[in-house]
Amino acid sequence: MASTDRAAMGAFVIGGLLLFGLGLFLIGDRRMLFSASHEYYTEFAQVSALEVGAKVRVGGMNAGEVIEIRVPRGPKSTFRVKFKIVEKLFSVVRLDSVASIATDGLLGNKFLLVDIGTTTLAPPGCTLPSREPFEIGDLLARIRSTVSNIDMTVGAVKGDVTNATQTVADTAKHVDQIVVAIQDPMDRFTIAVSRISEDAGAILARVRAGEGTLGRLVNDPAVYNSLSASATEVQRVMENVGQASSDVRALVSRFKSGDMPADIERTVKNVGESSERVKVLVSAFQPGPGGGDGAGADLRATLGSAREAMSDLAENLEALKHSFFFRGFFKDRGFYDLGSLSPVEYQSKQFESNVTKQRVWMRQDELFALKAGGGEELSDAGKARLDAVMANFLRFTKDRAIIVEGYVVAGTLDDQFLRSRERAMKVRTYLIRKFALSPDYVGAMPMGAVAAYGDGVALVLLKK
Amino acid sequence: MATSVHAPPGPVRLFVSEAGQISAFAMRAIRVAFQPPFELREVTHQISMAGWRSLPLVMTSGFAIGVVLSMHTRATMERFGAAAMIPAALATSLIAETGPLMTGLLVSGRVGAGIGAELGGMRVTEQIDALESLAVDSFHYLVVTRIIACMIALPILTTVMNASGMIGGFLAETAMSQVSLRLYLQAAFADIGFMDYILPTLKTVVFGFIIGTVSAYLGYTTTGGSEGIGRASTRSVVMSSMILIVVNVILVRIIFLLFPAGAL
Repeated sequence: MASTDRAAMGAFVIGGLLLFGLGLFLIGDRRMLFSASHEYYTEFAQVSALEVGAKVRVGGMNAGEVIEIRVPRGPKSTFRVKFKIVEKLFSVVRLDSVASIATDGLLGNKFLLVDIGTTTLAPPGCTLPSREPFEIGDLLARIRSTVSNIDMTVGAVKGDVTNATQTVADTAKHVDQIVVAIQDPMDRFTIAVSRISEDAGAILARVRAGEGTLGRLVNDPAVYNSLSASATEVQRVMENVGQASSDVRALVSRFKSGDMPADIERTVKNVGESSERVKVLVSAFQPGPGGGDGAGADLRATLGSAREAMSDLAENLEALKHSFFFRGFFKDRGFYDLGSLSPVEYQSKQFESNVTKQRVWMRQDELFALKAGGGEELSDAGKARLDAVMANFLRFTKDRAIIVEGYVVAGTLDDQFLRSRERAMKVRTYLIRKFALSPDYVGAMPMGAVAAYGDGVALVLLKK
Repeated sequence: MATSVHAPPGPVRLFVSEAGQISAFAMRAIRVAFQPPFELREVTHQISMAGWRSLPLVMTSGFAIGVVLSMHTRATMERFGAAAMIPAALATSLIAETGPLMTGLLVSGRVGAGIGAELGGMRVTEQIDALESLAVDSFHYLVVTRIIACMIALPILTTVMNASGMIGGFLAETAMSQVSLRLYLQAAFADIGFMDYILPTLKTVVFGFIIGTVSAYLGYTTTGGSEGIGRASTRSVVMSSMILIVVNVILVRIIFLLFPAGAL
């Protein structure tokens, strides 16, 4: 019984002591008492409830604890905090490592946080730089100040908003008055536009129905076939006449040389046949015995009708360009009516406001060379210069217009105008042929009588 | 006139009188404890009786307390998004207060009642008188050895209670959040200092002294036969528990005063 008691007592006491010692070891291990460490210092104006024994973390990792907090001797001094850091973290503690007091979580304990440095290693015993702790009270004070500022700003803005609202109301009132004032002109304008639209629709319907000269030309294949056959026949006759003329010239030549051709008879026969064919063809164009006008009269009438139709079409298109509905369409495509646009209008503010101009200036001696009989013509160097300029414009030419401005300094005003137009037209013609540009997209503007920047030509790329 | 001289004492006077007698009993025990013979064999026997045989009760209670504390702590901590602090809160609660106090109350119930009943029975059956007649110092042999055994057993039982509670808390915590034992121990001991661990544990030495002294006094001074034995046993538990709880408040306050940084 006694031995059992002793064994039980021994096991109880020894086991209890071991358990107690295990607890001490765990606490010591967490406190890093079993790791080599060195002491460092830092200083704060206020320690913000940091206590002796508080944790020290280097880069967020537990590294030791605060050993001592020395109270300052006077108001101008600082709290001197002594702490230790375990050896394994020495390598990241540098002279520029900043110590600060932080809170573990929102409501946790205070601890000393040491940042990872970048300069040379901090030797044990040195004083690390510090950053003063951030207090919630300071934050609340700042928030209070900010809220006060916001309140003042909102008050100020509120007055501005009231004024702005009043201004908007006044503006709306004015707009309403304007709308009422233009109502009658707008009605009349709408009626006129409607009438124009109806007229255009009627014209197009009649053309589509084959009425009138233009309608017949567009819709009647017989007229087209007759015209085509007549043209082919004329071409063949003229070839024969040319051949006969050539033969006669060869015969005369041989006759003059005294060498009588052996086949003169055959040549005369050919001439005779050709004359007969010409006669038949000419008779076909003469009025017939029944009082008909013949093919020549028909062809003349058809060509006259076609000319008249094309003239009407040109007039219609011109009207459409100036129509309210189609003007924007033509302008967007670059169909500026440069023929009816004077240099003064071209330089007017109204025109300038709709487009932007990218202008490249070229001197006269860069582009033109004097011809032997007088006048100017594009030189090879001038063409190369134009090619170089157009190289930059080509990527825009699909939907943009190019204006060739001609400038002439010398001479009277009319001479300047004529010569500048001549220069502009020469360049325009070259550009259209060289770069296969649509003539509608390339205009020529004589500027010599209006403004004289110098003697030469300017290429202008118009942009919306 | 005579009735006023022999009137029964009031409850206050009885309380003060008994407090004085217990204090005298305690002072005598302290004085005798340093006088030979030291009765080591009996001390060993009493440690075995008070400590070893209390282990199942303490371990079971500690484990259950750890589980319950973990669950309660989790329910509270999760509201604040501080579930990671559960091991630290559990360890702090167990080591600082719950472990020592619960161990003291458990030992008071089991050992204190036993001491009161055993010594009371020996007093009623005149066994103590027999020992005295054999020239054996009954106070030294019966009282001091039990007080010393309680003083030695209580810190050890408290350590066992803390460990059992930590194990129970870990099992409950790992069942809920699959935390590893290593992380659990690191988090549990993250905010505990040496003084936070040693002082509450050593505090239970005083608890052992109180349990042993009060229980031994009530048993050693038992009167009234078997009824007196039962009364002594019950009073041992009640009185030692009450004194223990009150003294615990005083001890915690003293620890706060002596170790402001490390006190809990």
